Amino acid sequence: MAVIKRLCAAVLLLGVLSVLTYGLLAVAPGGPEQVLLGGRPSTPETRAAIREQYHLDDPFPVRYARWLGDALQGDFGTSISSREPVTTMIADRLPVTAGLAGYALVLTVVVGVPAGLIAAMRRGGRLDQGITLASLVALSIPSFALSILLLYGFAVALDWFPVFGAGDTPMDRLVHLTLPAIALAAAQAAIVVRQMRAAALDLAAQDFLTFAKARGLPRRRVWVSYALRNAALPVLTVGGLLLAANLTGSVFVEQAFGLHGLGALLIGAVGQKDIPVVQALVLLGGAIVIIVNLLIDLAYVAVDPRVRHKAAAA
Amino acid sequence: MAYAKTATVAVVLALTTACSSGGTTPQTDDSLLWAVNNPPNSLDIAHGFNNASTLIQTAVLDTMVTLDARGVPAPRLATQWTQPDPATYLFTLRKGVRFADGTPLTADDAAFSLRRHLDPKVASQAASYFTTVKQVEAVGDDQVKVTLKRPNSAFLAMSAIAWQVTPRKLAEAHPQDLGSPEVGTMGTGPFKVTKFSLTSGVVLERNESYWGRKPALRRVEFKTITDPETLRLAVRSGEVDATDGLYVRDARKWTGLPGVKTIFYPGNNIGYLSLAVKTGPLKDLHVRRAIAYAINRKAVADLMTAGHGTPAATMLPSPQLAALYGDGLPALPAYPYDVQAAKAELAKSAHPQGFELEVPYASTGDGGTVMQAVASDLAKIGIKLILQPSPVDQYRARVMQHDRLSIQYVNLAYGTPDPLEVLPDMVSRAAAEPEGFNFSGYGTAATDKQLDTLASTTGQERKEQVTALLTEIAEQVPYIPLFYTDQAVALNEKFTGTFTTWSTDGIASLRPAGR
Repeated sequence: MAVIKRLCAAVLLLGVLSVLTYGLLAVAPGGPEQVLLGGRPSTPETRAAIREQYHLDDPFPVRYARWLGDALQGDFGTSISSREPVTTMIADRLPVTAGLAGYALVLTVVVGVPAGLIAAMRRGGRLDQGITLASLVALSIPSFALSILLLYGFAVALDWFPVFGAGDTPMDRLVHLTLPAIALAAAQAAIVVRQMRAAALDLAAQDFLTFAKARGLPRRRVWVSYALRNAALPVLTVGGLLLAANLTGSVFVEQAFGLHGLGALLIGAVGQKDIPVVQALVLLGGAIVIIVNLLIDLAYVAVDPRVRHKAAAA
Repeated sequence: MAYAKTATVAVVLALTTACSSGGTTPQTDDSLLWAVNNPPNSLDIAHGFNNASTLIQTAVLDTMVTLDARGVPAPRLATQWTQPDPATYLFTLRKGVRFADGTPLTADDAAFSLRRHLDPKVASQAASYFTTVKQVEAVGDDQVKVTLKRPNSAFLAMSAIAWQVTPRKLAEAHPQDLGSPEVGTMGTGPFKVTKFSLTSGVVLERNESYWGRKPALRRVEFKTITDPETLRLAVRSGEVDATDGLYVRDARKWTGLPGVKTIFYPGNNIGYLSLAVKTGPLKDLHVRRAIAYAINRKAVADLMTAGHGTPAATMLPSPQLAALYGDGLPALPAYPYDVQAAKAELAKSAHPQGFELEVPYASTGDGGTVMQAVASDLAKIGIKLILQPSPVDQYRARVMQHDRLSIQYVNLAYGTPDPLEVLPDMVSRAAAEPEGFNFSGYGTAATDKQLDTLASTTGQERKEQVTALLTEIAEQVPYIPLFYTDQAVALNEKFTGTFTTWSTDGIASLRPAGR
């Protein structure tokens, strides 16, 4: 029952999202004519042909209904600027963005979780202060500035990494995506550090931790098995949201590293009033957020038995 | 944290070492990587008439005629042509030319390649070049006959840019998406396309069966880097061999790069102000002249081109002036920077004390900088501009609708050496309608007639006609020319190439340095 309810809500949400996007693009000034004419002088015949071909004189509901009809049959149309099927364009770019988002999330978790936990363990100590300060700095640097710094340092001065592009082979891609992933992960890791530290500190005063220590369990065991697991819920939430944000909003980093991902595509398409591309990307973004939230909820159940039991009791 | 980070870096380092020892393609000196700052969107000029796309088109597709160093039409796929009457051209096709897939080029292919630009279904971006073309037909095996509605002396020059020849079969099957990544294109040019992707770029390989002089490079790859600083770092690090994506305003950042040489050449463009002459204070000729005197063109040109450009005094791009007049530029009414003269003109107008005027501009790009310089110049004579920034799409839509025009900053680039590409857009009444480029609204039945006669005249008479129109524009001041911007190409010192205003074979001219 809950699943059906959730599915209906998701479909409704995507529907509203698509109407809003289509409507906002339709009322915004300018149209696809500018893109199709290439900003060049044009003849009246050409302009009339374009208006007819793209049904620009039809009222908004008719145009939207036409798009929706095609979309429901799996046809998301053809990009106005490149004349390439929208699904092909997205399929071309998704691997880059997904790779970057995944890589950044791994870095975020691998660095952020232990660092936050260590900071909590050494509360008030030098290490804690150092980690807190480092995370403050990481949080404060805008990602595009960090990108340029990383490029200067590691790609130009040290020549360890390539300056731009996404690479072709899997190995090559890992190397190409390292600097972008660090640029993207820095601020996020800082958020996770703070979240983790706060959650673990809340726990530090709990009776079960005191009892575990009193039983003489080794410190590592106390923190990893007891504290980490109990602090996992808020961190999972943040991690999931970060993943969704990475998949849809890593545009600054993509731009700085010459990566052709979904973020760059979306910005370009909005500027060019490329409605089929924008529609498909917005729906994809919406679907990603919905799916990630669902996964987070499932992860709650897996990680925390109390959630499971509560659900069963209710 | 320290431990984890060290571990990550160590792993990544191991990978880099592994890759650099064989993972990436080695750069040999017959292969070059060229970066563009905007992705090419189509390899067909009908749908990709823009810098990045046309750069690649010219390496793959041959045009019927081309332009020589002075901008004069010269043979390419057509070995010669005759004009049986002023409105008819008969082109003779080069013999033995084949498309990159081996099929022979026919007169029918050549004729269709021009005819398709007239088809509204194709909605060609080059359609405005060929509005005077009435009929195109193949005559026999090796001749193409073009009949114009009326004589048009700019026809050959425009053909040199936009009459690219593709197989009829391919173009006919894909009126809308020829040149797209899905369909690609096929030409008779020095290179052939082996890959075209919007994300991973374009790969060209030498067309071994090319009829002309074979290019020195076996392979040229194009990649897109939109961020200007990343582009510079990529060229500096040697990952990218060449680019035309540098802004001359940033030239200083490029000219000092070690191992990189920067080539500048005059661009076929002009930055200017258009003054809407139909309404408000700009209706007054004395106001327009006052504005022309008040603007310090030299300062604006220096500001916008950092020494790689020149102030403009006439409403034609400088290469077009040179192509038409050579060194014998006629004397035209001029408005040198002179605040006193500006004040004197304003005193003669209906607004001797000055006035306020709302001026929209696009908040990204050069518009803001230019308009602020203009506003500060005009403030000195009592004209207060109220600058209204708006997003570039919104601004462009508004201007193209000719909605509330006042003083607009415009910078246009042209393709041909012919003034007929420019002047009708400036002063014809047809271009003063929405979607037209006459943002001043200036134009009378008389100017329309002058434009018509200009199209059918040649030689000395033509020069006089152009001079007459330029004089009228200078006297009536619907436009104020500001500056010309150079074009620039940055090349790794391993390579060299020839880039000039009219040459369309820049890519084919690239070669290892010292050869």
